[in-house]
Amino acid sequence: MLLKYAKKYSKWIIGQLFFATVWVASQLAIPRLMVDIIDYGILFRNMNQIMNRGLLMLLATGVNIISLLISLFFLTRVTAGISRDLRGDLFEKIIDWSKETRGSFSNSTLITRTVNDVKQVSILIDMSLRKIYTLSITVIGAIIISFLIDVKMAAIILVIIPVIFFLAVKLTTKALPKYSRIRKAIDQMNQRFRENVTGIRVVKAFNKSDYETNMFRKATKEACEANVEAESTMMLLSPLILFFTNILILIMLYAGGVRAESATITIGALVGLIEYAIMALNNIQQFAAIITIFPRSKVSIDRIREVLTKEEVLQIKEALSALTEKSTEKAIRFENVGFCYPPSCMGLFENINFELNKGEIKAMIGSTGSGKSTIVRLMMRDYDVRQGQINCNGQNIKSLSNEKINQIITHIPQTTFLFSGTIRENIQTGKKDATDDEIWAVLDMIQMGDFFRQAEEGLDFHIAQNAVNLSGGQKQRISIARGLIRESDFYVFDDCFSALDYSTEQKVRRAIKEKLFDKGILVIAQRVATVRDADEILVIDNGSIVGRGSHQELERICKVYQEIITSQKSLNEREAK
Amino acid sequence: MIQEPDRTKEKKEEGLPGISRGAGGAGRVAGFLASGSAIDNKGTLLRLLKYIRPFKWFFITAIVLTLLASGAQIFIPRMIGNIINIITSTFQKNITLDWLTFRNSAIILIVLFIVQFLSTYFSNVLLVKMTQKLIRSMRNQMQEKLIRLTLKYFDRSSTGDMVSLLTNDLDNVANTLQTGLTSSLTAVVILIGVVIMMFSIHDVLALLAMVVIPISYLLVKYLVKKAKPIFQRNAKFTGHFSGQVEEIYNGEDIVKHYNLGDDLKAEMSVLNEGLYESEWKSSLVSFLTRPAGDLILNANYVLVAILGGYYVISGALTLGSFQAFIQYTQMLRAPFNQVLGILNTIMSALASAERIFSFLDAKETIQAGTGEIDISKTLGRIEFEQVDFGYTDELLFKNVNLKVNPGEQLAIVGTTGAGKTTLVNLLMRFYEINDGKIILDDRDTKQYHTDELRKAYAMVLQDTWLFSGTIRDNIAYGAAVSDGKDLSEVSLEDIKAAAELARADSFIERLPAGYDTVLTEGAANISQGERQLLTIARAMIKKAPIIILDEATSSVDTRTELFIQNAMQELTSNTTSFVIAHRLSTIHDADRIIVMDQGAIVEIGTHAELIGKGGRYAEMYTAGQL
Repeated sequence: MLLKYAKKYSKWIIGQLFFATVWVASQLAIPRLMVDIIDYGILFRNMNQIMNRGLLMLLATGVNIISLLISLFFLTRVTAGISRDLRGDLFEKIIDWSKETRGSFSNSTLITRTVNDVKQVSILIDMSLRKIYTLSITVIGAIIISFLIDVKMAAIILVIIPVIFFLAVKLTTKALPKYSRIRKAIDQMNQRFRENVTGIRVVKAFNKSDYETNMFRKATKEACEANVEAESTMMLLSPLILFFTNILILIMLYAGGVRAESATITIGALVGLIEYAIMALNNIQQFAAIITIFPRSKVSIDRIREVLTKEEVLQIKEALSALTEKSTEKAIRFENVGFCYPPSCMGLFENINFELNKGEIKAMIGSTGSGKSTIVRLMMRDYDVRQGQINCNGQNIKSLSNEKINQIITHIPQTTFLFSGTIRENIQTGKKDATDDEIWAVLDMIQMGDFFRQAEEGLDFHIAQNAVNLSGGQKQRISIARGLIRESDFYVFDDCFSALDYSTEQKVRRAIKEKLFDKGILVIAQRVATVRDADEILVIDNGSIVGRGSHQELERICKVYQEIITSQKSLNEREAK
Repeated sequence: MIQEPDRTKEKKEEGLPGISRGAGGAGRVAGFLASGSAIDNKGTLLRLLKYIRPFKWFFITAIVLTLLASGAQIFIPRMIGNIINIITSTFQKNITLDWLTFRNSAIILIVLFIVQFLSTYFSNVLLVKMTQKLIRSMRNQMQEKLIRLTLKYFDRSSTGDMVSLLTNDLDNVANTLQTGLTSSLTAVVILIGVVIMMFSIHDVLALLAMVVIPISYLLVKYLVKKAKPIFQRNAKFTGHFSGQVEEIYNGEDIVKHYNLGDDLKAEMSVLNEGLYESEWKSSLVSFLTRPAGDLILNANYVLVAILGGYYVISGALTLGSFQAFIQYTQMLRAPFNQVLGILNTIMSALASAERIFSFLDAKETIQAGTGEIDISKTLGRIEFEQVDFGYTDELLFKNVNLKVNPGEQLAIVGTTGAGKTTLVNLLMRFYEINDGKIILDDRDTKQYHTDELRKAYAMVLQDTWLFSGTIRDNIAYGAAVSDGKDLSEVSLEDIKAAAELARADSFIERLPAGYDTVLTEGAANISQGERQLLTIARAMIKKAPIIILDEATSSVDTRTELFIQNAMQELTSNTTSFVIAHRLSTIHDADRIIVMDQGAIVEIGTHAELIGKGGRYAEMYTAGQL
């Protein structure tokens, strides 16, 4: 997956790798020049040679810095570029998903994937291109140069390097699973602490201070032990490699001594070889410390991939559009609709039949969790029906694009969500080119025109994140206004009067009725007062329609409806007595 | 819709000082290097050292071992230099090698290697154990503090900031203690040792090598200062981008159903582009210190090579010493970079420690009495006697008086901010009253231990807090659990009975895993109404003589609410109850209704009485506010 993203930047990556190679080469050249300084300069007391090689070294240093700078310049663009592309693709993918496709992904995991996981991947790319690559070629380069200097000595290095490499990898792989234990323990501990903060009243009210402290102590103990275990293993790595490096040097010195007697090696070569050996082992040590990033990044990559490869399950089925020809009809019809939520088939319901025509007001009432909102979700094609079909203006909604459905039906959702920004911007999310006059008109309908007229900023009134500067009722009304400014055939009000007091609700509903007199309206509510004026009321209980008719009819015949009335109206009756 | 991030957050008094999050390590470091921080570093450091006291033998041993290891490391190049000298003289004078001296040096070297290996390893392990234990005790201390703090503190600090103390700040301290401590010690010892060794080899060369230190320090400092605005800009862009993503994902329904997708894609792609720019610039800048340091060290290496070569030729230096010197210059590189880095991490860790300490020092104003309570004998008579209270210096309650009889059902109504929840907070003694008395049965509540007092109350709050765990455990949470036991102690029968009373049983049993269903964080996998039912069940299982319901059924439909009320009435015929509600249906059956306004009780009476009186309540009633 990453390769695909990297392709776009292949020129820059090649550039980066090229200059990184130059950087390593110049770095490797410096000890090699030192060999010459000793062998040709110092030993032959030739100051010219020293100056010559010294200048070359200076040159190498210059090349070294410049190539490093250039490679970093390319590198940062590559990593930032790939992050940008990943972020963009994730974001666009996610906001295009239907509810059905989104399934069990929570908002917080999607945010983590779009922001934190991408960050982790960019660290991985940075490490691979900057560190892993240069470390590897440094080791290889050091060995090659050693061979060029002296084959026999280099062979000693070559023997010991795999041993150390093997040891390093072994230790790291042994420690890695322990790191995931740490991660888990720390997550658990942090979660406990966070919940203590958010639930402090409950903790105190139920005298759970000691209990929480006990549980927290357990969590910290686990975190402590996991850390000690993992770190103790990893702590062995660097001293061990250093030890081997030192032993290697000693062996080389011994071999050097033996060969010095027979004059088959120069001092400069010996010194140079020792330096290359140190360099190679040092790089292996760094390498071992860095490879821990791979398993950590793999989690992130997998999570990103999971999002990017998840295809939209709700496809537009063109073939179905041919089935019906009454495309002039203006109505939404549910025909034998059956549905349950994936994956465990919760909230099951079957055989839902009803229709909503233009110019009609229909209402649904029922308990929490009875399935009312699910009906709206199906209507908006957030999910596909499992049985039966839903027709919208004579066409099966499966044959319509989401844009089209959204143009025909305006949904005013149950949970009021407002963007942070001005009130004008928020209303304009309903209608992009709405003029101030139009906005004032809808604000007046929801009885908030005066509120904003009195506000200093008027339509520039700033709504904070999560609309914390507005009350629940105000939020609901603004959400209604944003829906009202849209132009469509049908309007669905999903339990969005619940936070309004009775008199305001009445005024708002009257205004809605006036404006939308020729449209189809579906009102979903828990209050009888909200639904009683509707042309037809559907009573939903446990996923089925248990009664339908006008308020007067239902009052007489529908048991559930009667119970709802009693729960809300007992007071009025008592007063009548 | 896409706005500049809101920067107008008020500074909260008495709460946590603002914590810059998301600024990223580099940004943080930059901040500390560039601006001499004004915190009391010395005091914080001393206090932090106090935490080490219980582990002082660990610590001292670790330091001794570190010194040993560093000492070995310093002598190793010197010994290698000796061997090279032996080889050189063999080479130059064409004589046989002095194997005896070689062997002796080699033996010393091997001993040094072993000393270095063992002491490094064991000092590291000791330090890991010490820091982990130390951090654990700090963590425990923080949690205990958290539980003891008054709610005033919570009102003034954001959740994120408090959690960040444990996650970011304590981690920061832990990392610095664990790696920073050893590496800074090693670095300093080696730095000093190397300098001494260098001067003992050749003073002019050593001076030349030293020049590097101030130059690179100044260079790095200059770069970091220059980089600060770039880091800050990147942090701001990152924060802004994630903020927008979060908002858009949360507004999923509107985004989808109002066809906002394309517009948002366009807007976000602009933001993403900006983030790209700031990201590559800031990471480039953060890498820049490296080439800068390299340049100086490499240049230094070259100069030493040339000048050193000259000295060897002129006989002022042996080849072995020259080689040792070169190794020492190389050795300078690592500790030098480390010291630079560590200085920053230590400063940042001290700042973190300071925040933790200020949290640990926060006042706990509630003075708990020692009185115990026997719930079976508690009648539930409550009296407020001339109570004054305010969240800030400004009083909200002035001279509030109220008598509640045992078994009475009291409804509390009033607009937002009238003081309804405050009344509950005071009953539970979440806050300390400024003046007056609150009496339970015949005793001033101040005489009870707060834990004892709270045994008398079962409470359901508007805010439906549930922890991540099974439904079963969440309900069991309301029951008393003996010391050291966990929630499995509570029997499933009790849990089911409580769920039934709260009418939560039917929805729980419809879930695939039933009572073992695991709630995610924030219980996002069930609806708000269902969450309320669970919190009611949790209160039901407590069987307390006094019940407090603060908007407990606001998200439950009225029909279900009625069922719950009936069930509760059966259960609690002799329980005193306080019910805060907006809905008329919830309050009309109460024995008495209290109407509150701006912290004062303005009316008391039954529904009929209050309507008849034609006061505030009647006004609210006719205005349809109930």
